[in-house]
Amino acid sequence: MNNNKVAQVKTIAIGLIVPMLLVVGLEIICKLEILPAQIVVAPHKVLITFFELISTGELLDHLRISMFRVLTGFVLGATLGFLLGTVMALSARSERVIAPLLSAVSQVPLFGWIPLLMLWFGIGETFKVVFISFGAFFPMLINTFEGIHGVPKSYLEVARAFEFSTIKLLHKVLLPSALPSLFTGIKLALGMSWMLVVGAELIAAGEGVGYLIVWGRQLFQMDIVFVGIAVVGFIGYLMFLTLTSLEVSLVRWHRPTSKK
Amino acid sequence: MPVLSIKGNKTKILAVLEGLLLPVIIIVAWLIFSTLNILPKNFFPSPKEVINGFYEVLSDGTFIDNLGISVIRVLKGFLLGSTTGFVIGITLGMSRFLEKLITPVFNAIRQVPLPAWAPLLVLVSLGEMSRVLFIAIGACYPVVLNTFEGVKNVRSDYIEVGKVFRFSRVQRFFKIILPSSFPATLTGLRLSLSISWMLVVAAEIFMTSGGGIGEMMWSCREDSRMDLVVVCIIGIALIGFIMNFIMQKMEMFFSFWRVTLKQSR
Repeated sequence: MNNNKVAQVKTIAIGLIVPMLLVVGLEIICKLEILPAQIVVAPHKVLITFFELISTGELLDHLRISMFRVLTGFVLGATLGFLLGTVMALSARSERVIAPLLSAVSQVPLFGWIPLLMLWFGIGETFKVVFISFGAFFPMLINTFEGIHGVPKSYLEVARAFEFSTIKLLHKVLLPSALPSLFTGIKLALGMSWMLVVGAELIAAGEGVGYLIVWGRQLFQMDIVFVGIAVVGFIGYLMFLTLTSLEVSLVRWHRPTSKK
Repeated sequence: MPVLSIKGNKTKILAVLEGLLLPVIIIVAWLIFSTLNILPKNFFPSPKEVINGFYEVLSDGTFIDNLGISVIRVLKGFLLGSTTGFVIGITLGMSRFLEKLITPVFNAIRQVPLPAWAPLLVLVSLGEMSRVLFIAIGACYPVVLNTFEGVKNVRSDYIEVGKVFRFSRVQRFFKIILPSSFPATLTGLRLSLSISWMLVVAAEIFMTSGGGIGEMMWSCREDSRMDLVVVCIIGIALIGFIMNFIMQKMEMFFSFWRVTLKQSR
């Protein structure tokens, strides 16, 4: 028990070596002005900028706007993906009709849609939300389809024996056993949405965290750029963590019922 | 059997027909709407315009030139990123200490959404190298992760056999670890190439002035040449499809020893 703890502390300590070296190294480089300030920035300066941006409320404003965009796009895309995935998994004919078209559409790299969507929707919010929903749609569709398609046949037979209605079948059999796959889809979809909101804001926005990074670049202020990058990475990670813990609690809740 | 295969063929043909149903409906609707001039021309170019646009950019060479630039750029970024990723993946997989040392930093960096690196790379202003690096960052992750998994999943009895034969580190790497982790690396490479192709378009939109299909789309958008944007999208999708196809074939070709691995279990 105690040995385990020592090993854990050791692992963490080893993990901290590289970041600490990086911080110290960057501080020294900046102090001695070895590289131009345009390229490197002292870590303490990034921290100061971070707190400044927080205290003026600027950072939170940008975050709130990006968050709103991500959630709208994600909900739109993931819901559509979920519905279509379910339909395709339940009816083989609809799969045969829809799948070829979708797989052709999915060949287009996501960023390739930007010029088209901008011509259709302008550079406003609609463009961003639609673009983000594209990213959320495909992972959700594929994972919903695979989750529901992969439900063991014996479960379905039991449900048929009990003469479950379609809604009851969906609620009691299909969704619970597809849950892990659905969560994979949600995680991928949200991660993709987060990536795309940053991308969209780099190109066409006057606010949002992506814009914050571009703004820092335009001012040649590396510290703002770094704050932006770190915050974007951290929020993305936080969303992933939230979903994972939600998944763990949901699957735990669902495990005993599936055992019965 | 023959009866079955005829039936199989029939259902196959039927399935293909069903798959063509939606695309045909869409194209017919597109034709009808564009001949009736119901939809605004700027937003929905007619199929004829798209084909004319295609001829235009094909005959003046811009389409092929820009596609070529993008493909070469992707290959550069992909090679740089996947080689780096392979080396990192192998090292982390083989050394417990380096795994503990590097993994936290690697995971932290990996959290940053890929587009966010673009402004940083612009600021560092390395020209073409910025675009290649941008692609390489995205190309590196899947190779690291899959190679690492592959190395970690090398069967321990193989390693033990190596010990019995007193293999040196180098021998152990070339005779045991590399061959048994390679199928996993290939999966990583396939993912990596498709991410690279997605990122090249982004790189060319975020960091213009180096040519390429993404930049071509971007300037077509600025000129409101919707027909050409559509041509570019189809071109990008086709190249992406071909790349993925080649990688899948390679993965299948190399997976023969993955199959034998499973059988020996």
